[in-house]
Amino acid sequence: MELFSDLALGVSTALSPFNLLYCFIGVLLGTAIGVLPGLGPVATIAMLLPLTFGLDPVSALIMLAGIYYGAQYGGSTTAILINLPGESSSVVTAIDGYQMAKKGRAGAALATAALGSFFAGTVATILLALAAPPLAAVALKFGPTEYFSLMVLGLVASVALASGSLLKAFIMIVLGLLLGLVGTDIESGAQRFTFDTPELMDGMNFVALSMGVFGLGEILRNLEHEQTRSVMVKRVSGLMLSKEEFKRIIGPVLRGTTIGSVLGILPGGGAMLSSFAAYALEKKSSPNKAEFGQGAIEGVAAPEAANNAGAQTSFIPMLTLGIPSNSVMALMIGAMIIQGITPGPNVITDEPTLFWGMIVSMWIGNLMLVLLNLPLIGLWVRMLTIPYHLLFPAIIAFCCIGAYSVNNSTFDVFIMATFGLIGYGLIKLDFEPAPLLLGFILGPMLEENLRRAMLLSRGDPTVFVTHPISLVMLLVAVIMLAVIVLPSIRAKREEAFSE
Amino acid sequence: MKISNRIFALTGAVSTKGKLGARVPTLAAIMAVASITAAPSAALSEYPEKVIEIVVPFAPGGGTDTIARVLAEEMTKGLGQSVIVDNRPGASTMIGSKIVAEADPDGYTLLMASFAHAVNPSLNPNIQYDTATAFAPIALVAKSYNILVVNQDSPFKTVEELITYAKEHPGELNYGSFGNGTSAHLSAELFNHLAGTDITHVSYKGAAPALTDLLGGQIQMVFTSVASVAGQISSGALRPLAVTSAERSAAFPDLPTIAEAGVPGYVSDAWYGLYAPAGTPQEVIGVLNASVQKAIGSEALKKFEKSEGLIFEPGTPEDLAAFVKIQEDRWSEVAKAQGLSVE
Repeated sequence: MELFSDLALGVSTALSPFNLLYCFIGVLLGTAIGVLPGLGPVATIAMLLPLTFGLDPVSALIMLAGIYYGAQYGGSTTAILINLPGESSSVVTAIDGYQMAKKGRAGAALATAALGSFFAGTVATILLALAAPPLAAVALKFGPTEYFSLMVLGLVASVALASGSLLKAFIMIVLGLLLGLVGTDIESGAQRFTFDTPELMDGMNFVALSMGVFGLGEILRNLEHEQTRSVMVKRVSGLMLSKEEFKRIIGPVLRGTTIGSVLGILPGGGAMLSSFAAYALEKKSSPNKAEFGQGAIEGVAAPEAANNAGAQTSFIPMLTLGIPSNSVMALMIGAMIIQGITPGPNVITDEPTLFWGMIVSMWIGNLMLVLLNLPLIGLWVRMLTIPYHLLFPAIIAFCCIGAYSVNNSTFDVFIMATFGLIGYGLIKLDFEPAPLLLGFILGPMLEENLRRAMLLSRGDPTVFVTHPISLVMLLVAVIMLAVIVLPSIRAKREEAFSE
Repeated sequence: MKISNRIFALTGAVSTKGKLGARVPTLAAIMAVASITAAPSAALSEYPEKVIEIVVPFAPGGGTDTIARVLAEEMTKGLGQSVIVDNRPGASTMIGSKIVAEADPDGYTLLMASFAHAVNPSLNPNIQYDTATAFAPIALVAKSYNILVVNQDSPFKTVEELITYAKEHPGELNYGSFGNGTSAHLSAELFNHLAGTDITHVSYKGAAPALTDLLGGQIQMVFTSVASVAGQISSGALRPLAVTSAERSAAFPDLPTIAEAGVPGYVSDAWYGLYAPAGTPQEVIGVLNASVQKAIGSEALKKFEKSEGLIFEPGTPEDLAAFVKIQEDRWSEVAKAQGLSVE
């Protein structure tokens, strides 16, 4: 079985002491930022990007992935203990989790969250391992024509990704595409929007841009209304679930895992939507309906399983096709490009250690999280008492150093600062910055592959429909576009996001 | 020493994360060496009396960067002063070059120049320094060459077959390059120019995507460095046809040069040379040239002869100037003949 030899390669990669260490750093850091409200995995990964350049690509991506799913765990800890969801995906966990904590069942709620997440993470990891090889088989058939259609699909998908108004998402994508035009034209070498500035000749720095929009933008917004956080730390005791409680969570965990696994693959679904969907399903179908909102253990188990499964399966389109299903994945693709890896179906065949190492490390990371989280709960809660006026200046200094270190260029620090202000403005005006980043990343790849494809076909545009893989992807994009635009589905979509 | 340790050391000081903290000793070590060795040479008030920086106009990790780092280490041993690498990537080496062009001509800021240095004047009209007058040559560190590769399934076994086909089917073949003005691009345009062929340029961002498309059969040929394709050549996935140097290479003694294989007069060199800002005192240039000569005779650099296809030739600053003049003239002619300059 090839799958087993592949997994064995993954195990040997992920279990190397170095990669174990980075996996650990990733999940630890992820848990920490998951605990802190206001700092999400997107901001953290954006800020940490420059630090990963000196690392081996495998270690770098293992760490970044660890931050992402670690944050899902950390977010639920504070949601349960102090009714303060650290992550948007743990908002629903707080509803029943905090009620359980008030009743003295905080330990059981935390254990449910940890076990549910671990189970879901395991299932989703296996799913990822199974989905990859069939997709890898088409890898070498991917030429510029296929990549172009893939990018079109990615851009259409990123419209669906936006959770707010469609028009605003569209504006953001176009803005991202325009920003992506800055730099030297790849075929002719002509300068575009560089204003005779050598620093702009290679395009705007992706790291500086995303650190500004996500990192600084988010900090500025947080500074506007400093939350007063009254932390009352209850003693957490009784981590064990009773037999009856254990029976009650099996069903919800299974259903949550399924929902999360499916929604995670879809663009825009991801962790948050799946936790809402799983909670809604349990609330409607559970025999203990009345308990919901009062501390129903199902209300913790289902969304926690769902958000972790969703976080995990959102790696599938990223790793196998190079299409980001959310902004964390967009950042991961950026990290891969910087490491000299072309995202796409080739990754599985060209970089098997990266691909399989990452998959196995996710499972190991999940295991670490279970072991790590329970003893460290006290520490996480104490971390909430660090005042923002000490935390944020440190983070901003860290961002500046990070932006500078990419190219040893002060210009990039100014780019970051400018985009910090822009990012803040976008948040205030209710524009999602994620589509902007996707446009910025996919735009240049779209243009490059379009022109390369036209060059190779000597100007014959029919290649996009005569190549079968390309045709299929363009059709999917058209269907997706239709789905977004159709009024009835649109109304449903808005309902889903407003819930 | 990968990526500027100084920066990581700084971040380590701000953050308390263990991983970063581990980098701090490297900085401490560098500073310790610098301060110990600085004292006696300062007393003699002779060059060099402080840390020398070699600006590498590329991101860490590539060929130029690796060679510069080994060279810096060898020069450190010989000069008794730390020689460090400062990566200033971007704008096809023009950002790093500009920094050195505008630096004090005191011998403490040097430039590791390579292929693009001799190409930029004829390809980039918005160049912000004068390549001819802004720099003082120190020494040619190494010469290298490209290798012409095709897919293993390609019908072309020799350069002659390729040229015959290209002439019978004009505008049908494609070659991949790593961007406008790179050696992969110009080596191929020189080929078109001298062989009278019309092989279409398809530009990629870097070697990896271009080689992927060569393996996938999207493009038919690539002129690339030995290091980038050594693995695929030995596995049989790619077939080498010829080398671009004037003489056959030690690494591929059976491979003809392109000139031998049917394009008389064809030479395309890759090279690495050390420059100081113009106006640097002759004595300082002399010290640095001697240091480079010693370094290129060292074992540490010799090991690149095979893996990177480097050729080391001892020489004076004038030799470097003469060599680069030939390069500049060659590429300016190709740029004019093939209409490559961007206006």
